[in-house]
Amino acid sequence: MADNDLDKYLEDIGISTSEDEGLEPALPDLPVAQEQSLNVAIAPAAALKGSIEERCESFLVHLLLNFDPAYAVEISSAEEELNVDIFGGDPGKIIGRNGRTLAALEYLTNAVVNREELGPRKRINIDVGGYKRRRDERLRGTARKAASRVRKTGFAAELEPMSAAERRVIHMELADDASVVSESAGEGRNRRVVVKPS
Amino acid sequence: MSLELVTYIVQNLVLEPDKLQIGVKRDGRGTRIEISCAPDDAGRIIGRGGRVINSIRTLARAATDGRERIEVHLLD
Repeated sequence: MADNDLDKYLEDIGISTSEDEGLEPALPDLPVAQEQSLNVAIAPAAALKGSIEERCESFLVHLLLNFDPAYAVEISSAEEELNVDIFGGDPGKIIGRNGRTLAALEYLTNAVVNREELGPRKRINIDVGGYKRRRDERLRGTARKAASRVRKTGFAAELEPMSAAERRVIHMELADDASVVSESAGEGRNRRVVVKPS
Repeated sequence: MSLELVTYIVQNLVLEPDKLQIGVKRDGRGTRIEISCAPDDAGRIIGRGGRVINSIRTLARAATDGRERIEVHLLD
């Protein structure tokens, strides 16, 4: 997208890119030794409006400008969910260690865009340069391997501790497999999937 | 960048954005962003089990590339 197109696009969705119109006053350079406190003047933000796709795009575009203006988003809408791909810019910065930054971004985007008073909701999935697609493929492989081990040995298999999103991929992969059942066990960071013979 | 980021997110979470106050403290150790909001909006900023505010912290830190220590607090 050419710069002019981008500016026009941002303007259309209520984001001004001109520099003399900054949303916040720049922080003064304070002497670092002494603690200073100041209240920041908050410019009112235009409330998110429109369809869920429009709200999602507007929120993410605005938010990602604070990371790196090189990021761009592409949204595809399925019946029950929105799939967002973020590309351009440094993928590692927005993914974070073990995908933690991406998980936070996805959680917040769902919290903001799916606020109940804004209308019908859809689950929003965010990926960055195919990171989650590759991770999910690897997890589905792990799930199938565990299922085949359980079928062979007749014993339950316990997987590594995983995040809720990762466990979800495992459960989904095994949901159609009548030979095993999967459940989660353990608490907090230690929560893991156990695959059992059915 | 983190300040704008936190402000934008919080503005879009609350029902009463005009009641928001955001303060910044900087010292030798880093930056502390303090948020105060309408009483009924606190739950929206904190989230179930603190998940919303923890996600805000994660993003605020990521936005600085780890160059700076950032704390985000909701004042009551």
